[in-house]
Amino acid sequence: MLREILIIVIKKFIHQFASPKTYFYQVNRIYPWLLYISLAIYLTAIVWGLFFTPKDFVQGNSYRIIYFHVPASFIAQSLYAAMSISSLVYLVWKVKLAAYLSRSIAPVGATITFIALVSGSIWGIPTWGTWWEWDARITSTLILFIMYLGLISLHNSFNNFDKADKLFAYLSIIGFVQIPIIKKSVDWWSSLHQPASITLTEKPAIDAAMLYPLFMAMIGFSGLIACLVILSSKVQIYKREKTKNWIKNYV
Amino acid sequence: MKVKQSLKHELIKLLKKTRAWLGPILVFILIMVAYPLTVELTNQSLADAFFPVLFISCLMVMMLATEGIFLEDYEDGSLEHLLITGGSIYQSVFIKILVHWCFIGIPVSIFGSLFNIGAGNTAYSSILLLPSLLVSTYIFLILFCFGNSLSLTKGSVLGTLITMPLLLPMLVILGKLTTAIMFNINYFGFLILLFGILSIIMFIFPAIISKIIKTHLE
Amino acid sequence: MSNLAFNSISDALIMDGHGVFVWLVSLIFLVAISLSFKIFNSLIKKYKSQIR
Repeated sequence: MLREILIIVIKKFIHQFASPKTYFYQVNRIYPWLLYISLAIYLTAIVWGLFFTPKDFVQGNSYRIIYFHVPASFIAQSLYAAMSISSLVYLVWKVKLAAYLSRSIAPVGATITFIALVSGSIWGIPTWGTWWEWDARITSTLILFIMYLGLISLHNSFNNFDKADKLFAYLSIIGFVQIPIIKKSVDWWSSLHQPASITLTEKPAIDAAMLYPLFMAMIGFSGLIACLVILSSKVQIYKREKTKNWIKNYV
Repeated sequence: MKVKQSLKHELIKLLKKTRAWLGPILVFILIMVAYPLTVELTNQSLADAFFPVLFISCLMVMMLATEGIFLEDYEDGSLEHLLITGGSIYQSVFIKILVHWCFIGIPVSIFGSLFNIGAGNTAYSSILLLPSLLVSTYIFLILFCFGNSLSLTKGSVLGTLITMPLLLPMLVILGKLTTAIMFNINYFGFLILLFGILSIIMFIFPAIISKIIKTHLE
Repeated sequence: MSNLAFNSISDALIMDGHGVFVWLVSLIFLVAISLSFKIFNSLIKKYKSQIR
């Protein structure tokens, strides 16, 4: 008896929260706070990293690109994971908001992967002497970028939104297999790219003075990307709920 | 009994359109014959670049082979009929891929191993190459069918472009395989890896393809 | 935190020859992120005006 009541309450709560209308209003409330706070954190981290950290012994000053490159690649992979999970939620529980979210993560993910690739290759010029190398991690990140573009083009080629959402969901779940490939490829194939400096189980390989701005930059950057995803999801909600009354009242 | 019936059905369908399975095999033979003509007659460079050409032409031939693999069934309504009468699309997809592999994948692999001898490698390396080619043509076929089913109504170019990213790790594995074959290190490890990938993909992907086709049919 | 790594502004710009790369990356980053924000905001405005 208690179990049934609990299930009904949870279902009502999820379906109430998972309506685009509630999501829209809640997100409008927190958006300015999120933007300004994450911008402040990120700018502090960048200024700290660019101007106040000491020079690296091996690489000289060009290691400072780490404060742009590492958050970008980390967020690119986690965004794909978030998109896959959201697509799974859409397929299993038929929550429409999850479909909107996964569609809105795709362009943001593509931009971030592009930034990661470009910053990585520019970093490669002083460090390795070459700006492109077909090793495992770089090629897998390029594959990730092409997957994002493929997902966007797949969704745009269908006029019927339900069909497009479902196919998008299937493709993004299948493509999840490349995230472990990217993460572990540096361990499996020894190549030009250096192995992970920050793992869960070992002491970090980079100095503490350079580590703190990196963590702060990651946190601030995640906040910024959350703002971008929120904006993108607002675009999706406007586009798809054009005919609903609550949007007309809001506008 | 039902399996045998649908197996016969798919076999007949494929055998009727001879150009559907003979075409890709002939294209493969054409590419592999034309390859030595573009290289100067020094055996060393022929053998060096042979494996990449072999794997890429296998890839392209599998892409050709899945060109309209679900489209005719979709257009003439037999897929809808199958859905309505309660048959399983999973079974039909699985058997279709199996039949295509038997008629296109196996000949391509055999011819590929034979051409390997012609490129100046030893016969032992050809024998090593054969199982890995058999398995990888099946994997390519499955992945291209997945891409084709995603863009069932919009032409097949979009679908193949979308599944190209999923195939690139396969190509990386095949690249590692060539060094394993040439220097005979750890070959069985790679073969078991390929078998493992095939065993996972072979049963899961037809289920996903059937779900995608059901989405298209709604 | 009070130890500046560079002694002057021109030092910070050049960074012993590596300044080009670092500032190029930060420029690309800035342009990409601000472009994204601008594009999304203009799309929102467009859809809002369509609804009105």
